[in-house]
Amino acid sequence: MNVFSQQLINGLTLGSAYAVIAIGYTLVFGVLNIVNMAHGGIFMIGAYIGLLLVTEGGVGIFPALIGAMIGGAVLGYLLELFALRPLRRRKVTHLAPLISTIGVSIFLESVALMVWGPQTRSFPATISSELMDMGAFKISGIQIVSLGTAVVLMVLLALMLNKTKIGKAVRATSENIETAGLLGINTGLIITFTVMLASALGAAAGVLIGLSFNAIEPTMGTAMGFKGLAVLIMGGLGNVEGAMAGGFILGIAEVFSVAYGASTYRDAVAFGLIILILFIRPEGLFSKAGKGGRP
Amino acid sequence: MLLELKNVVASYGNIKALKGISLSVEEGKIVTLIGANGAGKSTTMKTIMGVMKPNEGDILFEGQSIRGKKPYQIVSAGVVLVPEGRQILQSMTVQENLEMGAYQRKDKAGIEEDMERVFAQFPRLKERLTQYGGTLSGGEQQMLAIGRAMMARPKVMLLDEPSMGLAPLVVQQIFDVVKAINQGGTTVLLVEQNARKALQIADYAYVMETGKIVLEGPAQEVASNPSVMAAYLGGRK
Ligand SMILES: Nc1ncnc2c1ncn2[C@@H]1O[C@H](COP(=O)(O)OP(=O)(O)OP(=O)(O)O)[C@@H](O)[C@H]1O
Ligand SMILES: [Mg+2]
Repeated sequence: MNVFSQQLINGLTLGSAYAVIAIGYTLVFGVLNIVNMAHGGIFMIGAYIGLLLVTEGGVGIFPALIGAMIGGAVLGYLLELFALRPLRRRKVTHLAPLISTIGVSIFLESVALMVWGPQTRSFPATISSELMDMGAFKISGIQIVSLGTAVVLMVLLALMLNKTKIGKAVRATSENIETAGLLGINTGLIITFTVMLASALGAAAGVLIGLSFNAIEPTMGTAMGFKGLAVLIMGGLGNVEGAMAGGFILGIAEVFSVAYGASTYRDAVAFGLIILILFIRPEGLFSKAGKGGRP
Repeated sequence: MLLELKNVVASYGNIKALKGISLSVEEGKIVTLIGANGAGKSTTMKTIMGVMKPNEGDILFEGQSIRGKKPYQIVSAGVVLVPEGRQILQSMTVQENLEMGAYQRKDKAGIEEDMERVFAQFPRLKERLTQYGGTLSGGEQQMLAIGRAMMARPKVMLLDEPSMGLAPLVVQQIFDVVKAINQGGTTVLLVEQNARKALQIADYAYVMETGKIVLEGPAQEVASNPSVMAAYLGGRK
């Protein structure tokens, strides 16, 4: 077995889940120009919803994933309604939504702790974690599900953003909200839709990460939230392609630093790489010049 | 009256930018609003479109108040703005920009027809369909902004300084297009720095100074008003 190609597959699997999380951040940043600190919390709740649907509901992993995404979208709707919209109406400072979303994230974590307790849970071994030998690398059923789902979600998202009317409206709103309104787009509706979409993706990523690491706990959103944030910045704020690329870079960097002997430093190596990239390209990998939006 | 402003007051924080504006736009006409920098012309446009909320007064479209409505609602009523500085979507192609202009329309056939009308008016846009908005020249961006507004098939088109920063030949083309749009049945409210050209194509004119309308009348009369000649037309006839 080739160590390099094996690690590459592992890195791609992890990276694809990071990419899905980061896309959620970047979509919301695009239309609202805010960093949604509640995204990690929604990611964690998504993981629990998926887990409970499998363990209590007895459904398969794909229905559970869809259930988690619906749950995520509902949470996104509530987040927008109670934590973001009231602040937008009052035109308060930029930092206000940061604080209110941190509040939501703490709230979600406490709820999870209260309802499900602090212990780590895992998916039952119904999905094959057996390794299939593909010659150059081995891949498990879980990895195939995780990587496959993430890629499908990203392809669907790209198609939606580039081909459908609502997707184009999201892009227009994200480039310049005033212009979008003048074109006849109901920007309030697009903002709600985008937060729901982003949250559904975050919840899906929760299930995928929960599966890959086989560990679901109330605090899992916090660390993941920071990684998603790092990818958001590395990819270029509000840039979907950048978030995708950044997610994969982070995942591969982490896996390789573990494989080549720096396992205690996996996060340090990954974040060091991000800092390095930002030194070279302070505006992010894919940033477009002159992004408009809320002043 | 198609569009009417009654004593509209609007402000940015404590700064009153409009101090009681009243103006009327009659159906089928070209009405122009001229005035020095900072007079409040763009603010007037933004207030009509619902981007800014008036503090006082009322805005009527086809006799109905549109005050306090959101921009998208005002667009669906039939009012569209070609904004100052064009506001082309940089990360979208020319084609997508035009499609976004027709965002609220569902009549596919009508949209295609209007797309052809835009190409007939601006053949340059047809050549650049797949190019990104941000890569167009200033003149092309202005053509795209006007074409995009045509795609909404509005009842009244507001234009905010469409000739700004353009070469004389392109300026002439833009004014010709505005005239053609009006002859096609669209009512026009035109804000311009180029007062001479605006007064030539307009039926009626308003002159604005520091948030107030100081003069109004048929365009030819306004053009021959001595103080307008001195202030906006370079002092000569
Ligand atoms: N966003 C803003 N915040 C604060 N004040 C503003 C803002 N926009 C405009 N103003 C002020 O309101 C007044 C009217 O501005 P407005 O843009 O309507 O003028 P204008 O007639 O369109 O000028 P120009 O010919 O330069 O485009 C000016 O005094 C301007 O400084
Ligand atoms: Mg102006």
